[in-house]
Amino acid sequence: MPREIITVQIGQCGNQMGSVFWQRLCAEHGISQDGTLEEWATEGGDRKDVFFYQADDEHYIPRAILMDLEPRVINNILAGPYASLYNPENIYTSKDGGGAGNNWAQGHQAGEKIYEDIFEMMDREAEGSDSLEAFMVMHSIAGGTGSGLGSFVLERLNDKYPKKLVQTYSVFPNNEELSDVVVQPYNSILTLKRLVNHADSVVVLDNAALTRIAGDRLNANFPSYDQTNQIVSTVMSASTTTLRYPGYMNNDLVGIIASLIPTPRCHFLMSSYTPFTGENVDKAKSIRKTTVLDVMRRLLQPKNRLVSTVPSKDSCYISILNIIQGDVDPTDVHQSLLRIRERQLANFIPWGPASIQVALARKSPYVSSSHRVSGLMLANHTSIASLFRRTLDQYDRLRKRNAFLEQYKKFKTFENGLEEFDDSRAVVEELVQEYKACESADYISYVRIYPPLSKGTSH
Amino acid sequence: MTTPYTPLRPASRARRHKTLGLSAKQLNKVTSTLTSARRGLREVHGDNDEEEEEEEQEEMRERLEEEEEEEIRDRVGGLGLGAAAGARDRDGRASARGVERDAGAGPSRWAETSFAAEPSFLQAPLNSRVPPPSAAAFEPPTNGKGKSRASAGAAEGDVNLRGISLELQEAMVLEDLLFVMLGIEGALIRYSPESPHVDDPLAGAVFVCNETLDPSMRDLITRLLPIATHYTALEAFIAAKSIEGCGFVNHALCGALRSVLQEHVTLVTRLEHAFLSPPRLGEPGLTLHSLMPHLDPSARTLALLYTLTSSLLLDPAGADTSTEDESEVDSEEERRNAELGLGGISNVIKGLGADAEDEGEVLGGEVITTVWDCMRRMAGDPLTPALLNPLLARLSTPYARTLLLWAESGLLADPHNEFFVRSQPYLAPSFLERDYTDEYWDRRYTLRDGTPTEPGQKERMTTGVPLPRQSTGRLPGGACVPEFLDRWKRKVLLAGKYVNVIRECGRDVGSRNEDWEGGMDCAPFYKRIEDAYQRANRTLLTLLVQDQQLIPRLRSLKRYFFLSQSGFFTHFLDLSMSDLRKPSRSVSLPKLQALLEVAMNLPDEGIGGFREDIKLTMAREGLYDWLLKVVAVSGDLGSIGHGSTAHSEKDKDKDKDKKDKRDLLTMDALTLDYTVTFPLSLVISRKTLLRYQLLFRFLLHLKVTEHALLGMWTDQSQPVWRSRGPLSSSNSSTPIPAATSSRPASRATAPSRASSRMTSSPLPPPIPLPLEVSEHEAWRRRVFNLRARMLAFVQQVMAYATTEVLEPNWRKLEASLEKVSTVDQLLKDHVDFLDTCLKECMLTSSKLLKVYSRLLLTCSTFANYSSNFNKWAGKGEQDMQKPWEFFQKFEANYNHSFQVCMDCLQFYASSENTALLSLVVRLGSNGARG
Repeated sequence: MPREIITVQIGQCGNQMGSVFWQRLCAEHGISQDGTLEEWATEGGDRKDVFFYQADDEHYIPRAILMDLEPRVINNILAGPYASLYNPENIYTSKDGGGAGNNWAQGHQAGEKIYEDIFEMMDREAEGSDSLEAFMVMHSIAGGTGSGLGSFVLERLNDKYPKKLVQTYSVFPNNEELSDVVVQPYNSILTLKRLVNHADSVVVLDNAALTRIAGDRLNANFPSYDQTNQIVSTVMSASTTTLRYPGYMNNDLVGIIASLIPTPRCHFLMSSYTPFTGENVDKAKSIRKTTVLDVMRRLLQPKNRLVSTVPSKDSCYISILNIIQGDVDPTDVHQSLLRIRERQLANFIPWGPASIQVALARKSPYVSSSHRVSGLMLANHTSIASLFRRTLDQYDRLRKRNAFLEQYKKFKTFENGLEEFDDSRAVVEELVQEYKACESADYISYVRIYPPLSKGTSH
Repeated sequence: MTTPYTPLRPASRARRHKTLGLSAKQLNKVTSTLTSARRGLREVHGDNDEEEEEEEQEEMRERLEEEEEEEIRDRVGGLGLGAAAGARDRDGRASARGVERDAGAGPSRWAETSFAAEPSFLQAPLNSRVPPPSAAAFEPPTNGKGKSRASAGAAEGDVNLRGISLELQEAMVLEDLLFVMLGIEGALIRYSPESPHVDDPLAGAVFVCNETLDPSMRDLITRLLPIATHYTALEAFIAAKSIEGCGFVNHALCGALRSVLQEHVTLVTRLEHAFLSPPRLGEPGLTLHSLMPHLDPSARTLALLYTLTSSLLLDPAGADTSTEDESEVDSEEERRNAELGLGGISNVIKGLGADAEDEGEVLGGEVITTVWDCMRRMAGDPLTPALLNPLLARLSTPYARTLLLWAESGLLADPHNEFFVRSQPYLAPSFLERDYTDEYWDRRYTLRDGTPTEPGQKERMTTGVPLPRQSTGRLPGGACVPEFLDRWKRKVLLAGKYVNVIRECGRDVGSRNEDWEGGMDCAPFYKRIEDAYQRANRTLLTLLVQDQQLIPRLRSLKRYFFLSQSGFFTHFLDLSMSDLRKPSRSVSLPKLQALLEVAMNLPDEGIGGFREDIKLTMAREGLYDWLLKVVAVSGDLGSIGHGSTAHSEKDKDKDKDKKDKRDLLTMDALTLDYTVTFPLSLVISRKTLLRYQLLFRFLLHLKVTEHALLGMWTDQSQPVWRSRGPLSSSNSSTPIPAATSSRPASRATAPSRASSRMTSSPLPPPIPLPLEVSEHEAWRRRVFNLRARMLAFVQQVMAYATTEVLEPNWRKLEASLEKVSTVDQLLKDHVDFLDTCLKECMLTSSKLLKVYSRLLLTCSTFANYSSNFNKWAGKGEQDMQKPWEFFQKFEANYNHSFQVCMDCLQFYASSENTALLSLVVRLGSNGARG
């Protein structure tokens, strides 16, 4: 099948996200819990083969690989209603079940050990697809498995499949409040380096923002993981609708990502979604009115972003892609874009193509919704650097005290010193600098004037 | 004496068709017959040829002395038989007399076998009932011949009425006059020597009155003589027009004329009766004066009809010109070729100059038009409508029936080419297979006057359309559409055509019922046309939409040509990208076709969708070159079908060398084709399909370029592009040291730099590197940015074309198809939809096309050099001169083209193509700021 995407769920967080994501995809494609196609789901005009393949008995099986170093979450999935959906061969749980102990180094080293096992699954899935387009990795960067094993997988994927896209949905820790995992900043920095170097696109999901949105939108002071995961899965499914319900455009992942990421290192995307209603997330507030303009305006509001950032006055968008679902009149889109431009609701970088791209996507016919229009924004915004800056600050604070470094030194990467920490920090620092540089028109203004071309464009 | 007299032979016709003229053998036969007839006469009148005239005169004198009554009865008997034979409601008395007298010597003398060989007899036996030639008529004064005139003068001179009492004169001349009123030469009133009727009976005989008659009576008689002229002319007209080949309308006209003439004959017979019967007590007998009011209405009627008929006659001079009698096969072949557009130059010349076909008889629609015109021209005269309305009704009847038969049942019963719809029998349905199917239906039935049948079509058809007559300016024969039918003619044509389409599809079209009596210019008749039109439309629409699944068909066109669900196409591009970059000649089309089928047959593409009808083909020319030519020729794409073909024919040779030099790339030549079967080909015709193809190729270009740019993006996310690389502190080779100043400092200098750039000389000072960026990194950023701008451009154009042009217009079309009630409207909506799409996709303006295609070419060329850039990116911080030069060429080129394109877009958006405004908005932020 063309342009397939293999999802890789790593760690507790990744598997929980993934499980909700697959439930949602099954609902949208009319696939029952055991993978059979519902009788009423034959005329959807959808493409299931991006995320599923059909077994010999016509069951739809997700192109998903589940891995964790402790069996608890995966066992929960396998005890749940969707247990028979997954290919059991694609599930890896560590036999000793010890987990990674919230230690990046432990997770990373475990990866070396189980390399054969997990890449046997990867290779099998990759060979099972006609023209594999991308790996979609779901993980968190704070814990041990998602960050450590995730980093390992990212490195190896990049080695083995250099031409395949690697997109990650990475959950960043809530670094506004104290966490039970004190070494979060260490793990984050180390994982961030891999995300910078080995992923093509990272959709940043910030636990702080998820909690906030869950609180604001869903009236839940202490949202459950299920609720935040539903938010995440909604975003994930929305960002892949154009692949699954192909329209005129944006029917491949690279087309979506390439327009969002002009320079390869600045590939950290933030997302917004509106409206969250009871259909996507349990106990959501109802939204009264959805017009294209409303949706597009709300998408631009920081409070709807799934990332909490601290924008400076120079912060601006590098690119924006709005995926609008539902019954939309194209002229409304045009009008909305004009209005947004008039009111200067979105500031763009001064040096590149700067416009809001809009992809109109069909909705799944099997999932009813009370609102007419819903929208997802994927945006590349320079203020994401503030998130990294905050992580850097927290890292620096810990690092200054040399706190908790002992448990890292136990593992191979850090046996001979902590250069990996310093290197990772430098990479993240450069990334922050690069985002800063993007805000200036000078970003690309350098030009070497050579005599033969002196009459060329000034810049 | 030398020319044998042949009674009332249609002279003009005989001249035109020489085959109908007398061969030598026939002439001999006729001559001998005449001789034998004369011999019979001689037995009565004596045997000397020279004495004949004298004897004749003697006989006349004798006759004068004889009892008047008997003689007149004799003549009237013969006459009654002759003139009124065609009419059914013959005056009983006259008939009785005629029969009674039939056996008499007079009629029998000429009614023998004598004229059996005369062709006009065979053609129209009834018309040969000419008035019995009086003895004198055997030597008619032939026009312009001295001898004849002299003899006529001599004959006239002998009847001298001087000295005869006025009463007797009046009685004599009255008797003569009654004959003359029926076109028979009398004794005192003779054919004028100048009378044209011998050469041209249709002009009517001109009579002159005996010079010796009393002047007052002569004067009165002169006023009555035109009646005789008109009468003879009308008789001749009837004779000429009721033969085979003149068409139903002419026959109906003749029928109508005959009954008018019959009334006249009845009148004359009554007058004769009054003349012959002894006057009742106290009442004066019939006198010349009392005759006048009786004849007056008849005089006006005949005069009017005479005007009418003479306007129906061709100018003999014009009609005489074309008498070539080419062999039937050749002319048929030629016509057929002309209709198929196959004919070479000869046909073109024929089409331009005089049409090879002669103008032909005045028949069918032209007759009706003439009568209609005549009626309107003389509408002030109350007599005219009263006379012509019933006449028009009668001669409209066959025409109306032909029309209704065609419009309601689709049958074309028009053997004489009287009707304004023409069918091309040469275009048999076997042409359907190889010929363009819609053209078949376009050409199978056409309007004779060449009015185009398609709504959007502007130019008239020229093939097979006759030239207007020089004398009247009307189109000849059936091509002349009566004025009151002019606005109905398209509906009539289409109604019949649709019925034929329906029949061709094997549907029942109902039984035929073309009953119609009377005129056509009335509401009930129009209602029948309208009903027939609506019914045909409705049936065909149901057929198309329900049986032939028109809407799903159009949806599949949208899906495949507009790539509305382009998943399969992305896959196809993945599979075939390497082939698409090759020259079109070296690529195997079947292979591409197979790849396309692989892509289309993905399980998730769903079943059906008519994908088996999709075929790949290679166009001969690149999209933009070709469009530019078309636009240059026709100015707009409205006539895309005709203009382009004609043009490509013309310029084929010229372009040949060019094409050889620059072979087309597959991606420029590739296009889709769609197999459409009858009757759907009426809607999805070649012309509309061509428009679909244009739009497809437009999108294909964008897709291919996008695909290439995305490939470039993938390349540029590789480590060589991504790695940070060494910092620029080491770039000692550069003449300008990198800025090592702190950030605030570099910020502070930025504005001044910018302003110096704006105003500085053509050689601005190199700009210091911002923020410890290596030169290599700076170069990479510029490459990234240019690629991003190109990608944004391509994606925005595509987004505009699909979401703001194709999709909304498609929705409009689908909405209008829901409620469309006629096939016409459907066709129009469909073509309008495509034309709007073409226009809004910038494909109709040569200026826009040029700049846009150039910009797109820059993008795809840039993407093609991706590997070169990769190489340089891999080399890292070495000599950067070449990479910079190479890159800056592209950048300069793109910046320039983009600016030109934007200016152009802005101009068109503000002038003629407002839809482009939103494209301008979309692209506005792509600015050449980078």
